[in-house]
Amino acid sequence: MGQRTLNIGATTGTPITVWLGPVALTILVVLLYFAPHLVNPGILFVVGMTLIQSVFALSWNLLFGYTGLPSFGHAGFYAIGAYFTGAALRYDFQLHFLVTLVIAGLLGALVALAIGVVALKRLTGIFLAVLTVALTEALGKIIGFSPALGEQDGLGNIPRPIMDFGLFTVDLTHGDDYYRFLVVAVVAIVAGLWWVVHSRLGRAFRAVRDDADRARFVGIDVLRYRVYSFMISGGTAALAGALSAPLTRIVTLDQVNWLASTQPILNSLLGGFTSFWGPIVGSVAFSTINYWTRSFPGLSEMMVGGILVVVILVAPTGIVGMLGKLRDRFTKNGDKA
Amino acid sequence: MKRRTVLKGMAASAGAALGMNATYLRAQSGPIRVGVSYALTGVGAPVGTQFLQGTEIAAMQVNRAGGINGREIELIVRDDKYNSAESVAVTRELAGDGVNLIIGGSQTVTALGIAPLAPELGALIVIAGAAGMPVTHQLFNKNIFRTVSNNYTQYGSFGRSLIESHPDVKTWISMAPDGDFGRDSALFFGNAVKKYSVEAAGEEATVLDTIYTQGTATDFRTQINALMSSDAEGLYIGVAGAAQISFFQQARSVGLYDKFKVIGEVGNGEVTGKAMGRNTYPNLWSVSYWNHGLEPFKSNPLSQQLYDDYVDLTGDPFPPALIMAGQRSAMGLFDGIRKAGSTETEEVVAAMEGMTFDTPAGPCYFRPEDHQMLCTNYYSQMGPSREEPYYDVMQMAQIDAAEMVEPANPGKPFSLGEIE
Repeated sequence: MGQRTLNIGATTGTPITVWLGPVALTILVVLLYFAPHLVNPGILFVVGMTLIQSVFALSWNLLFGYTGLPSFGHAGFYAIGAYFTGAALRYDFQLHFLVTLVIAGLLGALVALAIGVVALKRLTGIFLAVLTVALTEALGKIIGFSPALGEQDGLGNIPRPIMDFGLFTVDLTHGDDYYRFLVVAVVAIVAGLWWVVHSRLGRAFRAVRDDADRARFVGIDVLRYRVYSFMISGGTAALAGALSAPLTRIVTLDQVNWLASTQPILNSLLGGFTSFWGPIVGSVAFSTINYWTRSFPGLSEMMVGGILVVVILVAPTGIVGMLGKLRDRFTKNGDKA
Repeated sequence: MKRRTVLKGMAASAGAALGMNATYLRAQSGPIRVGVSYALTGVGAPVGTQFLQGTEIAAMQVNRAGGINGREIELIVRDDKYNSAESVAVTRELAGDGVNLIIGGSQTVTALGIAPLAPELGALIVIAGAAGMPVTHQLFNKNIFRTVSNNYTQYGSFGRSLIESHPDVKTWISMAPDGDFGRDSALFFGNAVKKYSVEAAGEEATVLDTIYTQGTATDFRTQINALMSSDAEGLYIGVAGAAQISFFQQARSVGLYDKFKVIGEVGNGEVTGKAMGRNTYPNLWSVSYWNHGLEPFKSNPLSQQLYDDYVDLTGDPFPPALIMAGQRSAMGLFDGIRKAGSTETEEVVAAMEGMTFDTPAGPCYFRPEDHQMLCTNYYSQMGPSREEPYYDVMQMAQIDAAEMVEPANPGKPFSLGEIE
């Protein structure tokens, strides 16, 4: 499987292209941070959910795009984070919100570790995919029978946190303030994942994905790196869920089923699973289509379905891959001229 | 300078001096914009689309009569996709566009998402169809009004209605989906049967343990076998939609129709009637809202007007009962605006608290403490017919919700132990 990444931050290319990526990213982050002053609360909520979906899709793609392991039940990890954070805030666990987020991520990683240790040695490919679906469905059943987690109704009326740092407090109870915190958190998580995939760890993941036998031959502990990837992916998905609970202020069983698990897959395929930024681009595209077609019930599903068919047939590497091909063609033509 | 220009300038200056901006001035003179957020796609769509038709008819009726204080109603419709996060998104979007009066929550899952938002958005939200108890209990805030009976009132009234009309049925059983709604509705139904059987039949009826199933099941052989081997003669079915139709199709073939003297169902109503046709169970009672051809609706001009408008709009002579629920929800809000003489959230909230208004199902009243609407609850009796549509609604039973509602306890969880 070929791997493509955009050369943001790379030292090759002309001076303009070297700086274009970081400058564009910085402008984008600044715009996102000040979005409460620029857009109405409805669009702001959509932007916030898109940021969360981006992290969720990145977590899935770390597993599939970088390590070659498919998960069709990733919503289970998302739900672990969402329900834990929702319960911690709703029932006032007396935990600092940052600690709550860390525990949520660790819970996701621990569940991934448990599955990984038991299953990853033998179960890869379709077997792992089915196992993750089973995990999610089982989790949904357990929550559905848990009165403390709201059963079928979901856990509603989740309060937003106030973070006490001793010398000062950060009040996130207002939606705009929580949104700004979300932007900072998402930037930190994306930066962390960027570091992971470009570190020695990320290179080991890619080696395992490309040829597990050859990776083993050169001394890479394939099982261990698959478990690492699964843990980071599960933990990140749980973090995405944890960040969503105070934004939506309700967590329901909608988020714990196979349909919810398809969302990061669709976003990654749409944006391009061979690129680090592909899942983010896919999440933005999906949300944009959803928003534009909101007045036409059912149209967004048809449009997304149609676009996915076109993308798979015309550009299997997604929107980012297609843009890369166009850029290559443009550059070649330019060279010829 | 022309005189008109000078006058315009003076008016603008006066507006600015009063602290009013152009948006505010426009909002006070243009159409009254009302947001509508129902499930129009997804598994909740069959309910949400019927609510929407009723709400659109209500707006059409008001506009035909000249609007409210000369201003027409403009509905801004959004699809919540039967998803709580989506319902939050569309409600925030509506509020961001300056819409402060919203009708939504055609089902509990979406209502639980939007109800806590109302104060933050400065909006008044009418919860149209969500019967879950938390809406007017732990999730209550003064900006929400519920225009449907809650589960306790609805299914308690249903149990009471059936035992009062069938005092000879001494043993009852329920079959319900294994979720909080299914368990609650069967519990409230059974408790009411036991309580009101003493007065109706002179002795307490026996209510057997509920048989649980999946809400989306298609195979009911195990449950039907358990029902057939029980001593029960009265049955409550808590499963809805296509699952209920599958149940009746399978139950009929093994003689369940002959075993039970009466069956009550959760509210499928005409959906089951249309699907079963001539094979409809002959004494099937349904949670219902409206039937234009029967009393007390037949002699109610509002009901007849609703029927005429529905037929004009759709060409369908058999309106589903939920149309009235959607129309009634909107009428409650429109009457609140009319009474307040304003579209400001605080003023409409104040006007609706304790307000009584007329509906096709008779007068309804908003309890001031928890904003729960109290009307008459209706239950229809259905059976097979030789004429199209091959099922017939024979009569409507009614129970005053005020007699069956729990005491107002806003802000606190609903507790059955504190009531019974």
